[in-house]
Amino acid sequence: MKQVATIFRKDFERLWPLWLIVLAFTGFHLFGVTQLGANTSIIIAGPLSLFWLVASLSDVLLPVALVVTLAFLIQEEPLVGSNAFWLTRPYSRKALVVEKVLFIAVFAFLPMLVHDLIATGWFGVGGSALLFILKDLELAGLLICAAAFAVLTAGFGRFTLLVLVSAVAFGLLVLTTNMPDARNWGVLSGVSGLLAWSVAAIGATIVALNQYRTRRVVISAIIGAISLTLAALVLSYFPWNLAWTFKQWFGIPAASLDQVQLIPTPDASDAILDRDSASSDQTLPFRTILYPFRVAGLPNDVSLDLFRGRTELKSASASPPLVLGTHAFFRNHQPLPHGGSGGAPDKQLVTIGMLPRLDFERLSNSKVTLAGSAYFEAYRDLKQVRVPLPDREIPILIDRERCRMLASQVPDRNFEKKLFIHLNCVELEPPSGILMAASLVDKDETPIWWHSTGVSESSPAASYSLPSLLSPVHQSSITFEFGRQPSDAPSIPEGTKVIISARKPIGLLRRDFLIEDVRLKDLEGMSWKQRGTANYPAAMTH
Amino acid sequence: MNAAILTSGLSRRFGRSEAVHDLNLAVPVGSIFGFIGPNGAGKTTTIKLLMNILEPSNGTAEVLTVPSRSLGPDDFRRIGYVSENQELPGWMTVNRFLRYCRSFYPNWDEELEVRLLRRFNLPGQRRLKNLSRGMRMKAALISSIAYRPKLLILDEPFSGLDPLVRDELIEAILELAAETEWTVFVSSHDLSELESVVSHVGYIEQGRLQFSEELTSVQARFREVEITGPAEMPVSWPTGWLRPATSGAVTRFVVSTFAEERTPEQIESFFPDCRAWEARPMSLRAIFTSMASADGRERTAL
Repeated sequence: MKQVATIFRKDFERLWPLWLIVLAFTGFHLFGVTQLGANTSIIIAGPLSLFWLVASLSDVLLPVALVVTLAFLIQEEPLVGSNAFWLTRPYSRKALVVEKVLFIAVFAFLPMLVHDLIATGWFGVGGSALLFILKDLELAGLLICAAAFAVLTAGFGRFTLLVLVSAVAFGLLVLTTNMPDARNWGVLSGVSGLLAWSVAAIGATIVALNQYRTRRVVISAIIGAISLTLAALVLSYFPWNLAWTFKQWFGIPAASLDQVQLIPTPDASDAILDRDSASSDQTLPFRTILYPFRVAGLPNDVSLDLFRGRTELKSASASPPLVLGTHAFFRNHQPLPHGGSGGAPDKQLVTIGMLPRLDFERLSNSKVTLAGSAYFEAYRDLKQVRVPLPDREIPILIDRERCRMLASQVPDRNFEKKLFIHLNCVELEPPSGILMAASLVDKDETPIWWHSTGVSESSPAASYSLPSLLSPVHQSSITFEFGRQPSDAPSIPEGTKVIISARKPIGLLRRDFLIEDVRLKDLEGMSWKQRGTANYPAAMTH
Repeated sequence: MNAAILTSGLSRRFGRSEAVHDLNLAVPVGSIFGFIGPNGAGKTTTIKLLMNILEPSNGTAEVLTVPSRSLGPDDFRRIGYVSENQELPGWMTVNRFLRYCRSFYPNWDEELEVRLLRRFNLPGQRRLKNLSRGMRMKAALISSIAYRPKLLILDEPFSGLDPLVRDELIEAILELAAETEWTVFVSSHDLSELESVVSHVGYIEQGRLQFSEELTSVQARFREVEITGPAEMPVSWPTGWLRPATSGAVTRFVVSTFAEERTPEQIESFFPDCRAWEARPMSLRAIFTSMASADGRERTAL
């Protein structure tokens, strides 16, 4: 213990400037978490722009400072090379490891704990000890990976080089072995991200301990390389499958999921179908293949997004089958609460895919079979929040998220006035991932039809990026931008209200379909009438 | 023999080259052992193997009866090590450095530390990185002997130091040797200084140990022989006679196996027509030089 204290004191005397930098960035990070509004670009224009810029960059700077401090800490007694000063002194390796862990605990984890307590307290979201432990484990994962690089190198330059080379190799491995579908989930998303992170962290722990025990660099490097490769392969091959499986296990209740059916509806009529007239433009080189489906068994508060699909279009005159990507938005049966265009009937045209005009004309008089799979993401609609358009920052609560709302009118680069509604929301980790939409109504509840290009989703980057790693508070900044104001309209009508509605992803769903005897028909404008016979076989799988 | 250092078949390869080959070395307890050899001979590698800084490719080494690979904190409390290129924590002041080292050794002799500080005239408040090379070596030496180790290993400690500093270090080692029961293992190029210090000497070249014995024994068996008069070089050259060179009527060579009862007779039989001959004792430096310039066949004969 005396030796631990001795080395600890030495390391503190050596590394206190770096620690001060870590503390500063922790402070900046805390400031960023608690103070930065949704639209940092507006705030950065203020007089303290540099301060705020650093605060917003602290998401990256803080982990970098931690990693740099750790690298210097470990390389005070380098395990590579022949630094005789410490190798021939009566250092106990166990004391050394304990000291390094203790140092990191005191100078990295302790400030982070204070940071977390203040951050959760600031937003009033509270925080359990378990949550903090989980956050600490995440931070420990980052630091142990950095430690593995530090124990394999003799100097900071080599450490940096090894980190960069490994990062590039890791990225290339992930990209070159990745399944096309996997990219839909982002590199570090969901379960596969955690699994890959765990594999890397366990490998890094073995590397670090092996180095402290034996100093056999080659063996340690091989273990490290294997761990990184495994982690990359986990990311490459399993994002889709694992995330899919886990979301199915823990997502939408099984009973609801089982009841949901995707049913082709060849008897659909014009009245219930909303169709883009451009799809039948004769001059286009492609034809859009559409088919009406309805979804049965969907709970009232659940909607489905058909976000991905694959359809084979088979015909005697088309061999091999033409493969088309299916996509459509299958909205909830219920109209959206604010009366926007999202309200959809229970029968909807699904875009089966784009077909070159020549193929379309060739197949027009043939019997065609459509077979494929549709992948849905299910959402549960949450309560909406209505508040007067705020003239100052106001707090609102949406599901688990505590938000501060701010509205601002600023000219864009074309000096056209735009209305921005900013939401700076926080919730405890893990994020619920709710998606938001905003709309404006006047005092008579009539929608104000400003063109809205509102960014209605929490930033995916914020969900899984480093700020999430370093804070128990998941923060999402959302900006809804309401586009150009009609020149004859008043700037903002008196009594305008903002309606924020939210929906929450609750699971994934796959449905296969097979439709026989389809005849492709070029249709015009908004008219729709199913031609031919669609036979929806009883043996269709769900 | 009680050995402070004992190696058996110790070898170390770096890729294709073998830095140390089949080294069998015994350093007696209480000796001051000079480990000499030309640059690149394998001295530093051997020392690093002894100190477990490097792992042997083959063979074993024992230091104070402990296998080198198993040397632990308790063992290092009995071993002092100073090397020519030792990296010291340059950001520390001399006082801080010694205070830091002190905490690792329960048997640290503060009185000795103070005495050595005074003797070496080291500025306690100055950072190590701001000291001259000689000063740093002195600080390293204090940190390695203030706990009175049983074994002190010095790797080229005098290299690059001015004569004054060199003398100071040697005097300090000798003085401490007189009052401490220890073994000193020192590798050095400064053979003239080493000669006045060491009791034993080992010579290594190209990773191979050529000989290892008491200095007096080495000095007794190495002689520089000078033959005067018409002397024809013999066709067969005796084993252990090195570097024959003729200049006019004088022929010189080194006898590495000199024995009063045998060698004069041998000389006269090999050079029957010589007018006179003389066998002069050699300094360690001269022995080293003759060994270093001997060819492979001659060295093998040793």
